[in-house]
Amino acid sequence: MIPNTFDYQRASSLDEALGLVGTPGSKVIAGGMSLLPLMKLRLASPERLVDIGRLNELRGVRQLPDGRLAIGALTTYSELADSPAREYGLIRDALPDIGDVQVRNRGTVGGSVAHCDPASDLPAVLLALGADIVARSKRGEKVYPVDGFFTGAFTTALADDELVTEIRLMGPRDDAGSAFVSLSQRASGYSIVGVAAVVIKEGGSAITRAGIALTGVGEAPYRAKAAEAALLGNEGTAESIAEAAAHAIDGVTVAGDIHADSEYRAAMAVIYTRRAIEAALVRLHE
Amino acid sequence: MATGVQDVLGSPVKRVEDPRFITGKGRYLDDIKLTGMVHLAILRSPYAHANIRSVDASKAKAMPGVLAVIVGADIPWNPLPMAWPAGGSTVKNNVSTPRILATDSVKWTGEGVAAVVAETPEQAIDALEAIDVDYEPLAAVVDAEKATQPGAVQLHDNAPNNVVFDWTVGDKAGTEKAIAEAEVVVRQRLVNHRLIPNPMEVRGDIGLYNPGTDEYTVWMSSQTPHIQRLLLAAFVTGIPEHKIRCISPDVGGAFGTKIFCYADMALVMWASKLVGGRPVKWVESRRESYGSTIHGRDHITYVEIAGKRDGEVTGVKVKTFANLGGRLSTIGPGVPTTLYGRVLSGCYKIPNVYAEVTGVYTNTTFVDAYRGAGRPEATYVIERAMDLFANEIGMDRAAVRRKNFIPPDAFPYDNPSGLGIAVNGEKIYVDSGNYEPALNKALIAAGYDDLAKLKAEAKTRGKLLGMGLSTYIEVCGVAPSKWIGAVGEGWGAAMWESSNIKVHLTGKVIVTMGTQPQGQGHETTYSQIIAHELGIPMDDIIVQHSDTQGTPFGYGSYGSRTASVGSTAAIKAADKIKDKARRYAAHMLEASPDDIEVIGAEYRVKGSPEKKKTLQEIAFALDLGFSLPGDMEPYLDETAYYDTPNCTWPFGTHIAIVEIDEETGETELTRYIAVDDVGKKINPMIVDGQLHGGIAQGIGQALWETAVYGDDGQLLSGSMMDYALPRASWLPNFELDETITPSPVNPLGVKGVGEAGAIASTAAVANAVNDALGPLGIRHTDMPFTAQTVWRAIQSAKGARA
Repeated sequence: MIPNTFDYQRASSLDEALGLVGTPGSKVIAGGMSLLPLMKLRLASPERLVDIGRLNELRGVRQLPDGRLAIGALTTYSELADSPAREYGLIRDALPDIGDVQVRNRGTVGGSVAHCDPASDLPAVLLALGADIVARSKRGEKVYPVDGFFTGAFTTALADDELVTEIRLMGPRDDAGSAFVSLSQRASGYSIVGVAAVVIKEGGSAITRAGIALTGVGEAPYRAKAAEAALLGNEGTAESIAEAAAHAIDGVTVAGDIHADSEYRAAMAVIYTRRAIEAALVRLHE
Repeated sequence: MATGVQDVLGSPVKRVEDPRFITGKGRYLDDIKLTGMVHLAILRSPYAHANIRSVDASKAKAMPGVLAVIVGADIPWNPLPMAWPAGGSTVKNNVSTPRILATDSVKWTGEGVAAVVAETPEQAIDALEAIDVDYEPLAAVVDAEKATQPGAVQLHDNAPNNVVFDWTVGDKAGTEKAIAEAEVVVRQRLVNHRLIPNPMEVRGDIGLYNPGTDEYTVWMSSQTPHIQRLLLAAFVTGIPEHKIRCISPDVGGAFGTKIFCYADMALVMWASKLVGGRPVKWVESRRESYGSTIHGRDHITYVEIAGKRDGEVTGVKVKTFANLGGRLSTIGPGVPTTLYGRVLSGCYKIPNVYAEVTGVYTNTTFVDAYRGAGRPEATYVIERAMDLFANEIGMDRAAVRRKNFIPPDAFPYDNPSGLGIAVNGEKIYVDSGNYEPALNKALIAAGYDDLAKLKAEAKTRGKLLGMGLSTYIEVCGVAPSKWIGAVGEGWGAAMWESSNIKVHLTGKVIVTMGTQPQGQGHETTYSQIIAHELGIPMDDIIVQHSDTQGTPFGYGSYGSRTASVGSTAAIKAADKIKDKARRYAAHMLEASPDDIEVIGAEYRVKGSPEKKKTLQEIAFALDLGFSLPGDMEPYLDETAYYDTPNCTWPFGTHIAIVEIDEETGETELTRYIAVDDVGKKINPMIVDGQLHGGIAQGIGQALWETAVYGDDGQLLSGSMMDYALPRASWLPNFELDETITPSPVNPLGVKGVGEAGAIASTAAVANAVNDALGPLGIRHTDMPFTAQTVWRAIQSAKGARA
């Protein structure tokens, strides 16, 4: 389990990194928790690794003046779980189960976003939160709304020469509740079905905003917009939750593999969406 | 004890090998680095079934660091031996075994086709990609039952319908009559699915050829170094047996995978000679191991169980298709026959038992003994069958078992499955057993009488609760050589054991064993035994093993044989030591040998205890030999070879409790109770460790682990990303208890425990899940009980009732 030969260059500044990103045969590496196993299996054989792991300007979680959280792309899962983002219930649910201790200490949120594994959990969390993905290239900075960023299996809207630098989340708020629930494939721990749910009641007893995102089910993590729409204007009764959950896979070609075929996965998507919404509402009402 | 030595036999002494193991100072195969060592990598077939048209190694030979590229045609040696055929004078075994490297065809993904020897492992692996193999892909078959049907892809010309053997045991006419006349008959198809063993240390070898002496040394991560020397010499290479030395260093787990003769062992020998005597190392990657080291289980079984409405079982008939893979491994056919077919009646006095086993070739990795080797498969069949029978007649499952147990006064018991095979006129009996006390303890510990209440409470939480029993017996402590050597049985070799004990001048003792540790703690248990036998501190003893040079021949460790057979050989050597010491003490003390009593390490004159010599004083004098009586030889050095008169028969009752999420099918094991009778215990802590590990492996099979092949023979569960090995955090704390019925077979009264946990547990969990699903009208569901499988069973039942 030895990679093919490769060149290695460690970027000492963001500018240097941006000069190398997207050059032929190059691949960016941060924590390496997804890329290195692929290289060892020789499923990926980049000619050159561009190591951005020492770019401290991409680290750290800070609060923006408008109350949003800005999370540096090199923030590890562990760091994110310990940061102010832990106010969010779905962060507290999802982060401790990602990978294992080593993955959580080395894997980065920017890497997770750029890699877009169809069964990875963080993209679903970000979709439910309605995050923004900030990317930089030599051409400047671009902000991508997360909705529409994950376009397919291991495919994002990023241009070849762009680097994810920051993720921006709405600030924690009292009128929101969130949860992440999942059914995992035992061997790898990846989600067969993972559902992130955020529900917001601005002012009254009815749900005014909802973010429901699923991973493991489709070609890429996605927002279940029909499910969200079905919740709006409801208080969150059992009937309305079930009605919303029934739309969890509208328009989605449900994946299947040796662990869970598409029939089972589809059934679990509905059940786990219901459970995620229920758990988010419990937290909202606490 | 008079010498101040605390008697350690039976104590939970901490293991002497652990300090090096847990501090990274063990010396495993890959830790061995020899001067001038080079590395071998093996190119393996990407196809499950293909003809090899040509192999072009020219580009690979030119790559950096490459010393040689080897193809099958280069090696004039024989294919690997198959040493344990399905036995019986009328049974034909259609044998095909792997060559060192495949020559004209490959029969599974992972069969070795070429090998590169290079200065570094990386260079060897890189060069593999430059070897061009022209394959003609062929269709594949992976299911053992389908492979025997007309029109199936044929693997070997000498095996029509891919049949390796058709083997039977028991009384066919009597059993069919009992079934035909029975008040109740239950029939069920059962799948005991394929497992991929995952010892923490994968396999590896180092071959070293000495051009000066024309001798070979092979280091191997093996359970059987002496046997491999024999097999490599006499069957594969033709090199004289005395010119091969095999050494097993520390072995990091095996569970049966390392019993066998593998192609890579001969390959590193060949390679070392090819490169002029430089040591050649090969170590498999985990992914490689999944295709090139044996798999376990993989039976498809049709069982019929018949009996009376009052619960008495009168007949069991079994038909099993045993998947043996693309070519046979060393004892592949022995496992589903001798070790499975002959123990199908379990701990029950069923008068009519008949089994037919068909061994089958398919385009999958070869299958051989894996922890339990046939007995987990047999236990699964009979324990599922007992539950199905109980459910059919509406009788409590524990009561049905109780009614059919072999009663304690029926021993020695002649098992109707045919274990009692006549050898030289002698029969082998199940020697002892007392099954009810273990069952009673387990039922009480599990709260079996509260089952209905527990189920009702779980239902309020949306869970289906189930309790599963497994009252098992196992046969281990293998084996009397006269049984192994019976007509048709046995692997062309015997199963006695050896031990040599030397007491050196300073009173320090070196004990050898012919058995072979892979993590069981043998260095500790042997030391405990010899410390007890000779009355000396454990610290004064070391145990040497695993080098065919300098230790007497032994048959290695598998089949839970070390405690019963290996220990007894050591005790017999100790007896010889004490006998000589006693006679020499008599000489030193001017007494008659009959007047010398032995207490610990002291040899005293009866009636005059102040007249005594210690073993250390005796050894010192004997080793010098200044004053020897009569024809006594100098030195205190004795060897014993010991052939056990019978196997041993551990038994017990395990109970698993599961809860199933009725909506999703997710199944959780909430409690696990095990009451085991493994006879007396040399080291209770080690016994518990063995039970924990075996139970975890059996649970792993029931709930999580499964080898998955595509129809084209590609292994889809090709790594730990898709093959779910149990993690400790998934398991409840095991609740262990015991009964102790000493074995009459050996002086320690031990039975062996290495496999018992794995033998009992799969059936316990399977019965628990099936019990949980029973109220939905589901009669039987096959393992593994993944959430999807259980969900689907629930959906089908609900659909059927809707």
